[in-house]
Amino acid sequence: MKKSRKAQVRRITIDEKLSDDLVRFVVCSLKQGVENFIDRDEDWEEEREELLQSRDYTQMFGIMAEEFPWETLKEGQVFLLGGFEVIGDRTAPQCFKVNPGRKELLRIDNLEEFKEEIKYLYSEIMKRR
Amino acid sequence: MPAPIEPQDLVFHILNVGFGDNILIEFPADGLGERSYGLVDCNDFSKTKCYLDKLLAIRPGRSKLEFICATHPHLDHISGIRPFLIDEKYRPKEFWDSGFRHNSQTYLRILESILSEGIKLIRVSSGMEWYFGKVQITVLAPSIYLRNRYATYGVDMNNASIVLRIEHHTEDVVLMKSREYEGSLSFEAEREAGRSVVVLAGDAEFDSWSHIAQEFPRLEITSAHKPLVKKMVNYLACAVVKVAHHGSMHSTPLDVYEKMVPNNAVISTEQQMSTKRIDGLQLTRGLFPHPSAIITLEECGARLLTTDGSYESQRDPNLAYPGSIVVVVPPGGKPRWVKLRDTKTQVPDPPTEV
Repeated sequence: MKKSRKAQVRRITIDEKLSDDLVRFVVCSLKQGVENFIDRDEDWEEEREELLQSRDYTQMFGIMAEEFPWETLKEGQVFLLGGFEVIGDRTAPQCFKVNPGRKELLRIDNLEEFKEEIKYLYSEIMKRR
Repeated sequence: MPAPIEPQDLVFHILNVGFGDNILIEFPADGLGERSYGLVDCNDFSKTKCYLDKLLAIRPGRSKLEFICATHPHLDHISGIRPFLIDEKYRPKEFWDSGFRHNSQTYLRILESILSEGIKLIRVSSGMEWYFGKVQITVLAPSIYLRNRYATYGVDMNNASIVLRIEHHTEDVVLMKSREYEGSLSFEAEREAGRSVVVLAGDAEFDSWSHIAQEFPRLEITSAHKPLVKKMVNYLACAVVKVAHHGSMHSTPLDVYEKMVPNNAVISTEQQMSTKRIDGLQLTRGLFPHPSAIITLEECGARLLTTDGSYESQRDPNLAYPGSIVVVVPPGGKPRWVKLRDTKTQVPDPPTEV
């Protein structure tokens, strides 16, 4: 049961557009046993790369390919895809909850909290110098 | 005829890690006879660590890295970095970062490790310099101009790449007396100017190269300048270049390479093919390296070496195999190189002579 849940939520980053027809995605799965999550590294397995041509995109990513066509993908975009629900406002989520019965897609790199997280981390490192 | 690697030689180990970059710099031995190391990009932790351990076994050296430089945060340049940051044996003194913040978990975990391990982060930009004995490292890119546009005006990650110029001088360059001589604009003279220079170009593309060309211009002397100006300056001239972005079509501008005039161009890659249909015509060609990059490099008279052997299989049958490439630069001398025979998953024995 837990194993199937693990495979159901993925974090997908557009890493590099290598050509018009070739994109490297980096994908990680939600760790086994995680029920509620936000975008913290301890929630996720190690990232792996998926090098895809446009013809394979629909097959690999299903609803994501429908909502975000190949041509619209940009480096740095991050998506959550799979069986989860958003707790709170979709534009400012409190957290996400695993729900194998649902199929959800959310772009998260444009959410304020997400953007602040990496800025904060970087500034902490810079300040410490 | 191979010659032994001497303690004062600077050595670059461009490891074959498939599609990605992974360059170990072996600095000349210090007063105690020990070498030190810097790592520019790391796509494969396990191979790099095993190779470094082999190096430490054949030549005295310090395992703790002087620095790790992540030229930019694409996965094929950073996926193997984090384990080095959290390993007491290898943990670098400094982490050199382009300042371009990526959203991948891999990059976030690197930042978290830098914070938790107390590693000094240097946000690198053009003009910065480091000295390791007689070895001078100068940052050619990213320019301040590009760096200030990262967040807002869509500079992409490749153009944020750190580009390093590394020169091995005959004497301590900070103490060196200025030399006065007259130069002339000739192919041979420019090659001589970059005799002991290696450029590691990350994944820099045209936007980045245009700023490099502006900030490090080739200055020529004319008769009107004499006798005030006595030296032709070409900071981009080099003997060896690690070609940017695996030899892609956007990374190898002919006019810049004509200023670099490299003897050798190393492409760290695993070829990807692309098929396009244009008005009923089917075009199939390699992307990394791309034919346009190959033509540019050949036009400049550079001998090409690829870690996957894809170029050599067409042009140079004696080297038509995959392998890491080792470049040895004596102080002030002309680099020598050797191609090892390792697949991307094998760990080769480091050479003792080249």
